[in-house]
Amino acid sequence: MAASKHIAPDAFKLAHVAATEKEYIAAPALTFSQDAMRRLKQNKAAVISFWLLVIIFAAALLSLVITPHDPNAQNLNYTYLPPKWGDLNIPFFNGHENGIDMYARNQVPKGTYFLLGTDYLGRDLLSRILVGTRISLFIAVIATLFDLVVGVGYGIISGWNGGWIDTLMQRVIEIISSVPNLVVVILMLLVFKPGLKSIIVAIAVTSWITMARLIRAQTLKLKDQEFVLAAKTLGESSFQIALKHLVPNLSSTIIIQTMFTIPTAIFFEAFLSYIGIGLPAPTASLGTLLNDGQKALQTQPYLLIYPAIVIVVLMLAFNLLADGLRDAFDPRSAH
Amino acid sequence: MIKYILRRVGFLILTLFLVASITFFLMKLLPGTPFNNPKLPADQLAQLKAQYGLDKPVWQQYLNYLWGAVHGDFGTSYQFTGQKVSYLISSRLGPSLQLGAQAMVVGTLLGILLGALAAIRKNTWVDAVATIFAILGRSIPNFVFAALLQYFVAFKWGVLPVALWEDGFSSSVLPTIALAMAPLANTARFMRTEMVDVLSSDYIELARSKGDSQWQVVARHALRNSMIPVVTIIGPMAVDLMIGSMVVENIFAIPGIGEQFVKSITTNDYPVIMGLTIMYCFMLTVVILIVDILYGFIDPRIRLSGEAN
Amino acid sequence: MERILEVKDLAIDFATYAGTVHAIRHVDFHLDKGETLAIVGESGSGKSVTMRTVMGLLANNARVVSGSVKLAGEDILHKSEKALNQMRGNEVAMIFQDPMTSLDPTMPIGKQVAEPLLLHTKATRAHAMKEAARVLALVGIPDAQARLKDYPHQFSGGQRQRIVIAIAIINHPKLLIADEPTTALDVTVQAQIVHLLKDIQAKLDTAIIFITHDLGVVAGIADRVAVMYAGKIIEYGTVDEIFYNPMHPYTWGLLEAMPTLSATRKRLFAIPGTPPDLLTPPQGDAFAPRNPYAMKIDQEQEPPFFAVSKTHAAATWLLHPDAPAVDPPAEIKRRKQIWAQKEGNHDYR
Repeated sequence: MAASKHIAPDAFKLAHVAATEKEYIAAPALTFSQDAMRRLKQNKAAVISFWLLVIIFAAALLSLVITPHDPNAQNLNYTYLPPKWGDLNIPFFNGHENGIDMYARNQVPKGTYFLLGTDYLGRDLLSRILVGTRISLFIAVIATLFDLVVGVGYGIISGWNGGWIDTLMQRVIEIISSVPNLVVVILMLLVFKPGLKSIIVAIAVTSWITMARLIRAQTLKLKDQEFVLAAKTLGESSFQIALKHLVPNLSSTIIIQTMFTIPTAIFFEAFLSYIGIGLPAPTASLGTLLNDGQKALQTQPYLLIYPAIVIVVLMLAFNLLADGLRDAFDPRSAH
Repeated sequence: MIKYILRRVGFLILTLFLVASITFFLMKLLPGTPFNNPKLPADQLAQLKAQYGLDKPVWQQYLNYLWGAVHGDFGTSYQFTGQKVSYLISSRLGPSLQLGAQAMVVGTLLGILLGALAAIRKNTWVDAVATIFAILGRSIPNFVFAALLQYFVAFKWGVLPVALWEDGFSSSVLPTIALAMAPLANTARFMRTEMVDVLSSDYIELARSKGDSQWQVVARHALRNSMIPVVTIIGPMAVDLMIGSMVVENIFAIPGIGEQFVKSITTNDYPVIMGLTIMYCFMLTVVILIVDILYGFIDPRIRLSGEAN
Repeated sequence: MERILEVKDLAIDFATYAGTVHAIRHVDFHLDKGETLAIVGESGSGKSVTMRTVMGLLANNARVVSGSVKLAGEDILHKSEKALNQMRGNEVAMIFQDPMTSLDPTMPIGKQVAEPLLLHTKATRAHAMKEAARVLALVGIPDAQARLKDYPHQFSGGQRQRIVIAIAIINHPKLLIADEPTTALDVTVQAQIVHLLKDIQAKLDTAIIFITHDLGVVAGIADRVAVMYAGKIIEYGTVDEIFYNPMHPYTWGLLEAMPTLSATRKRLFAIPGTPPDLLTPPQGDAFAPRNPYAMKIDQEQEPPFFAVSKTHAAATWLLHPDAPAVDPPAEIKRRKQIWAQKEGNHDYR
């Protein structure tokens, strides 16, 4: 197996390569978060969900300034008008019900349309959905803030201190979670007056439990790792360590769990309003809209179906984005 | 093992005691008891209060309540005059338990099947369909799903009873489907993750190197190893079922405890709310305790180390 | 000699998100009955992938680019999945690196050991269990009959590796692939396992491929050694040839990095640098960037194999007749001296 062809003699000169050149790495190394972002961007469902959420948030925020109609304006002449999109004659969106032009029958002036129809008080469903979405999202955001502050704080304190503090804090969590969290929320709502504030407080009281558990478990794991020990030997205080070393390492857990808290909060609000102890009467939220829709389901199904579509899309988008984030930050769980 | 169970039962009793106490004092804080009606003459009010034992000092009411609760007596309903809370609950437990059990069985079995298929056929259309199914199951609120089922299947197509609990099993089909959706979705998701993990483990490769075919590996090694951890999510699923039953029973007008709970909330029937809260808490802690003990029995690693301790 | 395994011109690619990884780049080797071949290399050198190919257990994203793998004369690369299932655990069996994770944690070990027998023979359950107890005793599990119903976590790491070996040999395979079987074990246990493998080979006349990154283990068990680097075999020969007359600078590095009792060196040696990225294998010799003896041609052209003896060859330009004589490291010189004495003795006899 000897080599045959002619080879220039100078090819055999020793050509030692400099040490720095040896270590040359062809591709730029990706940091953990860059790598996670790359994985996230590859997840089409997550990307679409993200943009969908951006649009929903924008529409909900816009409803502060402008809505097609006044969401709370009642007009008993306009009750139960089916959806109508201008003069476009699209089935289900032409203002007809059982073949009768309801707009003509109710003498709605020309040029007045309700894109998604009206409810039993003649209120515009689309406007109410926009306002309701905003309220649902608002509750979700506030619940998330509680989750971040209380849940993360509780978890870090419990996991970092260990010992009897940890044991006590874990017992508290166990007792709270031995009652279905919705029952806790309901009890809270009975004590406070029904309303936005009470709902937020009630959801906040229960929403942080899962976060606290996850953060505690992560903290316990991180606590024993070398870099924390190194920081300790360098004389950093517990608070400094938590801020500089723990929180960055916990960030993916925090982001992912937050994404799971939001749909839960949206669900809770809708659930409570649906069973009638959530937001009081005139306020539009996805839950109250679904409640109203359920009452008229057999005659005006669109009153349930459109808010249902909105809440399902909202939950779906948050869940898909959360799944995408989890897979991106914790590749082991995905592949 | 016995020591462990005893300790857990002790903690369970402590938990129930605390929950009962907290609910009791919460209820004392509540405004709007049925006796706050200003039109009520003073003598009638006093009579009512005496009837419900509300004329005694709070600490005595508390002790009476605890004493009763230990003996299964949770007082008398405000709403249904003279009805014992314990009777209200026990007469309505049957439909709820039947629905819950049916939904749990259907949900976990289908979920395990779906999750396992998704894992085995990872990154194929089977996986995609299973994933979509699971994520829809998590994203559609159960009351929306129940209402849509009722509208389309029962009302529009007339296939199954629209509501009520009078046609035996067929009455339970739609509510069971509506209730089973959440446990199904959660089990499928959990099972898929577990199974993907197990399928990439060394002992599966060893089994393949023994000559097991892909399906033999699944049947003999992968399924059991991925199903054991599924037991741990039965607790959270029980919570889902309890919460779900409140609306699903309401929508289908089923005389269960979930429907009763919602009704009592809207009518401020505090003794019933308290009784049901303790009942829910009791059921949940018992389920979790059973699951933990069960887990110890089916996982040989825990079973044997438990013996050693 | 009966030829058990013949691998020719094997090349395997992996499709990854970053591109195609050329994991195995044209590998040839063979193995005869009752022989032990050690394949030595760093992690990522392709030794495990090569063995997964022989087992027919390649990952889904792997693609065989060229070559053939013949087990007892039969080409396995074109076998159906069913035929592969019949082959695995019967004609060829594998021992894995980590005994802590390679046994099913929820199945009693008796069942696990008996499984290959039930799969490939018509043995009854009772007979298979009896056979399992016999093989477990053979690999040195004390009181095997009584422990059939025990679970893996009730055994120590060394014992678990014995159980894995029992699973592998219960059907008397022609070829046993041991993928770093001692890496995860304590040093004392390592020696026992190597001893056990030799023992089994003597009893069953099995051919063994022993994959390792630790040359120290190789000396005790192998007949021949193949050194792999960056998806290629770069030197092969008998154990003595590799240990006392190595030709490739990478083999020199491996030998230098091996701690020895007689070493006069104060510090442990490590080969500088890291293996190349197999997404874009470098032009020329893949080892050139880490090679203190690299020549200009190493950067331009891949070296072919230069034969040293009938059984020994190395892929390095240093063996080209035009190459300058280089001064190998002291440790290698010491080894070559021993080689010269041995050869000398040989000649006189």
